Amino acid sequence: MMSWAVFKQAAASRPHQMVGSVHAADADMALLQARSVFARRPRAVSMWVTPMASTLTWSHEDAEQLLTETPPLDSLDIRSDAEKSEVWQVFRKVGKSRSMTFVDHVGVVDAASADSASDDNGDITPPGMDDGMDDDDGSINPPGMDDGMDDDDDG
Amino acid sequence: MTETEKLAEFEARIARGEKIEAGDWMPADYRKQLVRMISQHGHSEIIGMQPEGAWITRAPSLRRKLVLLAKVQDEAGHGQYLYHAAESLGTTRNEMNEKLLNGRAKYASVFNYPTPEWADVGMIGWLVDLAAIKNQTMLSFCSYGPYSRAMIRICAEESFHHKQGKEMIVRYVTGGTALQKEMAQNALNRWWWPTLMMFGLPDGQSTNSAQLSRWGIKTKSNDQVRQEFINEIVPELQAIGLAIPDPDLTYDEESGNWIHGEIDWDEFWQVVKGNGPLNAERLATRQAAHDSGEWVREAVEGYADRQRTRHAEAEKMVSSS
Repeated sequence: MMSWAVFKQAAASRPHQMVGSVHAADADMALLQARSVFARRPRAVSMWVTPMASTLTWSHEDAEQLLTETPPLDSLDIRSDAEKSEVWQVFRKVGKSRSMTFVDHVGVVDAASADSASDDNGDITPPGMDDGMDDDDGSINPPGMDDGMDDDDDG
Repeated sequence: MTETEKLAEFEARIARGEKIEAGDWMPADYRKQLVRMISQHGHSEIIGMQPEGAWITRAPSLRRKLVLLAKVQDEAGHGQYLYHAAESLGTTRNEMNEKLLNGRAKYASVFNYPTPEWADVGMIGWLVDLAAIKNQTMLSFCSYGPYSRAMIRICAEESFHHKQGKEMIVRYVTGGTALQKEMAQNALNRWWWPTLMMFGLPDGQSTNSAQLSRWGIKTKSNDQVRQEFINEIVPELQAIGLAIPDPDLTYDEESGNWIHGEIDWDEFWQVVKGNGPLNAERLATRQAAHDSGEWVREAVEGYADRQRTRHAEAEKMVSSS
């Protein structure tokens, strides 16, 4: 079984947020599991699952280092190599306070590798502009299931 | 940075109220304590499905049955949240499952007690789930991000569980038959002491507590949380006329606290060591569920493998044509 990261969007106007992970043999089953574990309550309008192994995460220390060090030259010119460029989804932890979710989806970048994608903070396309996602694809929970719990609560 | 500097920075982050995340530097002991606590917490949710799950087929009405089904399904989900949080520290689902099944990992002792009558389902909701909410609310403020987030998610659902149990017992006691009232009182007699033990050893005797509180894992002591629970539940139980099975229970005017009598810690240790009423049965049931799920795990892996092979073959045909 593989581990899959689960991203949930609570409302069309909100970003996808990482809510946890599930174990499954394939993506379809991961989505099914994610739905039964994370979207029974509170509601969701959209969910993504991605193999945990294909996410690159930057820790607190990495982020500090990034702020104090100049990024290596080769990572500044990544988009000149169009051949190797891929689309990377970028998520960021936005607060330090007590919360129900981990990181928020902040957009997409084109980059040759996950490393250079995470260096490339300047040119992120915000979600909804060019991410190919349809916000109006129906609610995962039937109407009436909303119990007023809100994943976005801090506190 | 030296290890000492890293530790100082780590403790400063906790003092500032920051959450520690999976990839961040942390002392080996912090990681070890969290893996122990979170996996055992996850096991408690999974084993905790059994005492009430046993009543699903015998629920007295469709309404009660639907509520109970949803509740037990929630517990399974809580186990998933917690196992995920533990995995973020480097352990695996298989390792945790093995330790549970071979008895090396513990789970909440309260689930080793039997549920001989239907009212036990309601009393577990009212007492055990309230105790869990008190403990988990404290843990939702803990310094480890993934554990804290799992706790917030769980507490929100746990409050449904608490309310359904309270509603059931209040109805039986205040509007039910003599038999229903007696059934509720018997359930309270069975669950009162095991619930008080859920908060763990008294403050002076709990060996892990000092370090756990210094690193912001536990933000209140065992006795503090136990007191919060007692102060809330005693007036509620008394208000509907149930008798709390503790002749020494007194109200202390000065502190505003209800003071309980002596807890039988010998019994607690007996159950922790595996000699409780149902320890062996709980693990045997879990083992049987794991074994009978083997073919499902094999089938989904087989299906996923076949899909991947087909996909790879299709890609090859496209690229060669």
